[in-house]
Amino acid sequence: MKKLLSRLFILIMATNLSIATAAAKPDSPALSFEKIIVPEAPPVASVMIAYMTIKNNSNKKQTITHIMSPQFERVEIHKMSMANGMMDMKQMKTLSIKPEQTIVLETGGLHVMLIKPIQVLKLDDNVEITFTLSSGEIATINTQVSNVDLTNSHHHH
Amino acid sequence: MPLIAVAVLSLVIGVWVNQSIFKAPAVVPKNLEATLLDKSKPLTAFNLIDNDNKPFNLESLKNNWSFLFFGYTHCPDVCPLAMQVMRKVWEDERLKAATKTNLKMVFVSVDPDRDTPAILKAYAQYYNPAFIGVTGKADEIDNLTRQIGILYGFDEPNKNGDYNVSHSGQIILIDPDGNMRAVFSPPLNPQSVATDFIAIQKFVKDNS
Repeated sequence: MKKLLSRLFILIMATNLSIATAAAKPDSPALSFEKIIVPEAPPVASVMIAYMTIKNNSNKKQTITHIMSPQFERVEIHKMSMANGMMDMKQMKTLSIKPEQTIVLETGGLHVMLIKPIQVLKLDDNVEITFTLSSGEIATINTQVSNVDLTNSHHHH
Repeated sequence: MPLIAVAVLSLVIGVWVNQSIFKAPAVVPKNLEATLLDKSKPLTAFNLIDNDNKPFNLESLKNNWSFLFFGYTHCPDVCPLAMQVMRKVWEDERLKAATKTNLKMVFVSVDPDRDTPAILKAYAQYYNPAFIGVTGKADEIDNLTRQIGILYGFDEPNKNGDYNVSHSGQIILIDPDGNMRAVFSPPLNPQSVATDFIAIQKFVKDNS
């Protein structure tokens, strides 16, 4: 009986320890970013673009409210659509992602527009992009300018 | 009997003359992704400038085939994609001979206020040193876009003075006589564009 109580005590302590460890672990990020691509652009280009997939890992809606990059004056989210026979581009002030949903930013759809490079970015140069969420969470991603074939429509899948 | 002989001889001669003088019309190529125009549409005079500040007009389109794309260099998405398509068409092995002699790739900027000839030169030649950037006065750009059916429009500038330009995403094919021949619409596949171009070239040659 004493032995049994002792084992039970150890089991309870181990369980508590395990819970305490989980609680001490920092929350996993609400958003994860994959397949990030910043295609090389002509040296005179005043804008560049970033494509990626963004996954909402949480069980709550997540909203991106602000984006910045130290390599560019401004960063915005844009959406392309066909209107009156023309490709039209509109800025989106925020971008919301439903719980557990993944959205794809790709040619002809959504993209992150990198406006006015501080200096000309060449192949393999680093690009850092920081996303601020309405929850206050901040996510920073790093990538390099790449020579990507945009004509392959699902190039980053 | 002699009458029959004359009739048969007349028929044979008639068929021979018919085949010799009147060629059967070339068959319209099948399975094109491009829209081949029922009748070639002759372009009328227009006056633009190229990226070396030289006139670019109807004569510039003569004696070679031309691919035209209309856009602006501040375009982040549609124009770089179209320019990459044109680069891959240009680099297609099947067109190697054409690129040396009778093919032009032309980027026409509808945004002359920002796209100077110097900027256009750097932009077009980034994709290929042989590519040409063209722009001009707004009414002359309109003169050409109206003939071809290209649409574009300017958004209101934002507080930073930046503005977007909505525009058609088609690539236009002009033949060596200055006629509009075909339209390639998105989604653009470089291999299909090159294949269609070869078929259209043959069709036009066989029909001339």
